[in-house]
Amino acid sequence: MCFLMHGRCWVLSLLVLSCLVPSMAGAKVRLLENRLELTGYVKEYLLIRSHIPSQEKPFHRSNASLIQSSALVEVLYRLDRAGGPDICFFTGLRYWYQKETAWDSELKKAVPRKTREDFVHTRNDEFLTEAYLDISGNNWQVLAGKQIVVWGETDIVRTADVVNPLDLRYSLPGIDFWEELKQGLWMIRGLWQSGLPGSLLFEAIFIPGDFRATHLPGEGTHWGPNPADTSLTPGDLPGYSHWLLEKMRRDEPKWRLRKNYEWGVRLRGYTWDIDWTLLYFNTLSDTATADPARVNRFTMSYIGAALRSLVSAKDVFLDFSGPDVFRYKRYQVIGGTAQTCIDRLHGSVWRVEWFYEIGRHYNLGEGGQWGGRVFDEVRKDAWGVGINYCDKFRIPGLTHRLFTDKQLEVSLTFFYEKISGYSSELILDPSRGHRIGSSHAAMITWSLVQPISHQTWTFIFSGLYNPNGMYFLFPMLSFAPGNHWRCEIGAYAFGYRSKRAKHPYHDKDSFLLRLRYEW
Amino acid sequence: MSKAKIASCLYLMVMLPAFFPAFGLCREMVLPISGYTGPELRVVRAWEKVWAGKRIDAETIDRVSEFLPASYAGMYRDPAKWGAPPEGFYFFIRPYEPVRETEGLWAATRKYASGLKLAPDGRLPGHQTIAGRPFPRPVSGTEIAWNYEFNTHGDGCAYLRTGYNISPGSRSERVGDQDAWELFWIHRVDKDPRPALPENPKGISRSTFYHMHSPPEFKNTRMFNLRYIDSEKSDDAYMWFSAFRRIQRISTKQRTDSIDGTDLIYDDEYGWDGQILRNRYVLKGKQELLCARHQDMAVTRRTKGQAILNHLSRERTNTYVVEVFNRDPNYIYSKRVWYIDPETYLILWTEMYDESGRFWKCFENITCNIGPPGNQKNFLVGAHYADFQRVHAGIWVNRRVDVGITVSPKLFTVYHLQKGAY
Repeated sequence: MCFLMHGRCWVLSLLVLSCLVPSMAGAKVRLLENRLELTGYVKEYLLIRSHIPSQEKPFHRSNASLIQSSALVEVLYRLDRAGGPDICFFTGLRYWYQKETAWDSELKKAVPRKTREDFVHTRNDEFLTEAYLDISGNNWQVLAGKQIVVWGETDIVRTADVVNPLDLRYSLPGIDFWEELKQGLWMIRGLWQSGLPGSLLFEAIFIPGDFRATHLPGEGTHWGPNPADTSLTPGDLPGYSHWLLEKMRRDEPKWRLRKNYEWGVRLRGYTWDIDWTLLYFNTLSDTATADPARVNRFTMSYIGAALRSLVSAKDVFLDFSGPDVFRYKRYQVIGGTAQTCIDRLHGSVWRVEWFYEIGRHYNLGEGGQWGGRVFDEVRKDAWGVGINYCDKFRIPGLTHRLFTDKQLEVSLTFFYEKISGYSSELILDPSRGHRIGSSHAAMITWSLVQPISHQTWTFIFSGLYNPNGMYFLFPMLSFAPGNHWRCEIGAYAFGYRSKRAKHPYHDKDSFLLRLRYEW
Repeated sequence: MSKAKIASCLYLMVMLPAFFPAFGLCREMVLPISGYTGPELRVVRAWEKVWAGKRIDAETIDRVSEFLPASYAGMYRDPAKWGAPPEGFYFFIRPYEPVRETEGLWAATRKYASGLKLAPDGRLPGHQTIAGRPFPRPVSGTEIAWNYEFNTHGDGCAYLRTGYNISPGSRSERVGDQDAWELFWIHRVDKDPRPALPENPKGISRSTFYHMHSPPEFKNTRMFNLRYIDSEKSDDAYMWFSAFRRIQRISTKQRTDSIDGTDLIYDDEYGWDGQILRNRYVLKGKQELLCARHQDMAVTRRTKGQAILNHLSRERTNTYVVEVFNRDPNYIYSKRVWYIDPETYLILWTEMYDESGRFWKCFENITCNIGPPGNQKNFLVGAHYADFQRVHAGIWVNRRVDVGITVSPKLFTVYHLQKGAY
């Protein structure tokens, strides 16, 4: 019955999607004598978990744990002017609706109300992915407004790409493009192409206090913590993870020019056949650290509420008022990228990306564990480097016969990071790949792309392996029969081999189905 | 008097004044050089009396098939296999019309062409300092290849290209369109500075910029390619891929990779898109073929899934036949055969053979005179390409074609990629 119910939801989604499809033949809609361009997509996205742990099963009527409809429209308007600078306006409008969380009555119990409200559909200025004015002359450009800026070069791991915070509530790098994971920020950005040797291109960014933290997945949602793991009375009282995440969200500093400004500069050049960049960014951390003087009391108040809920078997009001517990501290990053093609190595492309973080804040806690007792906050420097190799290969016998002469594209990235003055009590973001007790993290990521049948089909296999035993595997098959429709089916698996490096998504293995109409 | 005779008389009236200065400067070089000698042209005109204006389709194709590659004649015979509409495939015969090319080309040819000799390895020493047609009367395949290399498409050109990647069996297709700009940094004949741009520290011979509008995954993707004078050096290419929002160097070494699922590899554009010295050339003689050299693309017709454009007009052209062998023994094609226009040195037809020596693909380039009357440049306005082993095809249609325009070198910079990055 549940399956049928969900089957109906899925069919209904498709019907809604087909009604939304604009009727147009070209890939772009152009209006006003080509001055106005409209592009975009309508997308249906389904994740079905291959296995739901028994303690989490009461919160699911089926294994479908994320069914999302979304649409994006991007508008580019060029002001038609004779002479003078070019003036354009670009904006992206997005909407999503998370049906599973809205429709599955069991899942509603797992996702706290506030999280659900934020999660189910687009809220506040999330409608606006970007909106900026672009004025450019012969060798200069100024962009003002909400923007997404990419400063990095590598694929799955972010090394020097530090400007925009991520929204990890619905997807992960490696499963979706960065573009769909990044949150736009209001900023002013300027570029100047100099006539200096090396074709030096100067870039500066000033963010006048628009702070956004990384959006972490809420409790009970597909990517979020399991309430059965974090609550004493799952279903009645939100779990401890919600307690922390919601407080982090409430403690996020709002738009405040004097305290939250961020700025950065980047220099791009070309020397000895290497395209390189150097960057400096003065920023607030997108992830929070806890105030050691307050966080433990804050934790105790949750335990008190949880015990009251357990004894009374009733809902207990969680009171988030009180002083700030979480802080988003300022630090600095210097970094750079370099890329070149090496003819002698099969014409492969090599990219290097590095960073040095100065004075980033970390908490010290018992055993360096998340959720453990926090007793201090310290500043540490960290450095990291990513090396990416990209190449194409003709596979004898296969490329011609099976793949219509489209070569296999290979991308491999090695990433290494080390924290100076590391101690085993340092609490680290699990996504950085550190094993508890280890000052460094290393990862290898890969992406293999093999188009098939004149690129109507494409097989993609991407993944990540960390020598500490954590891995992520994601094979996917994409079918694009014409110009507009694209269907993708895949499966991803997360795993670990050591309890000291337990993959945060180890129970999230899922099948993926994406249907997209693009124009 | 027939239309063909009138056309010949008019041509001579226009051309004669141009011939005399050439005599004055260089007695042995009469420019421009026609694809036909006088007696040959008389035979052509006699044939045209029967065929000019005739519609060629499945019923009549056998009567002119000697002037088409056998593979394409087969497509006209078996239209259903190649996604033809109910009326089948058809084209028209038009009278041969000489292509004059630009005054700048002939002026440069008079200035530079005398006494040029190829090195034993096929190099043309100092070629970056000269322009025009280096070998107006070529005697070898390599000389013809250099003439092809020296065709600078008006030194700068731009066009909007719509490409159809077609599976005729299912009558399905994928459409891509892109704006393109080309700039020739050397061998310049039509636009100042000539024969080369003075500021060229990287040693670029030719650069191309593409702005892709579709298919949707490539929307607003922009890239440029730099080809170098140094034939040992691979091209450099940079791409702004809108989905990644990054400017990335991309590999250009793997030139036998299929382009986005089409039947083309990166070396295939224009019939050959690579360094001339990567191949060995053998001149096999001449062959008359029906070629679309004066095609108004606006009159062509097609329906979805159709592998050849209908309503083309083809004329007899006395092409050079050059066999082309890549120096890489593992190259994807064992041989190409170029059918080169003797008046423009554009490749009008080309056939490819697979590694086993079996016939594989055949492409046709469709051209037209672009530019002001009296100084027109014959340039590509479309193309057919077909894979006869897989029964797969593609069509290009170039719109908004501008030739002989000023294209700024600043277009081919990372800053320019950045500037239009949405």
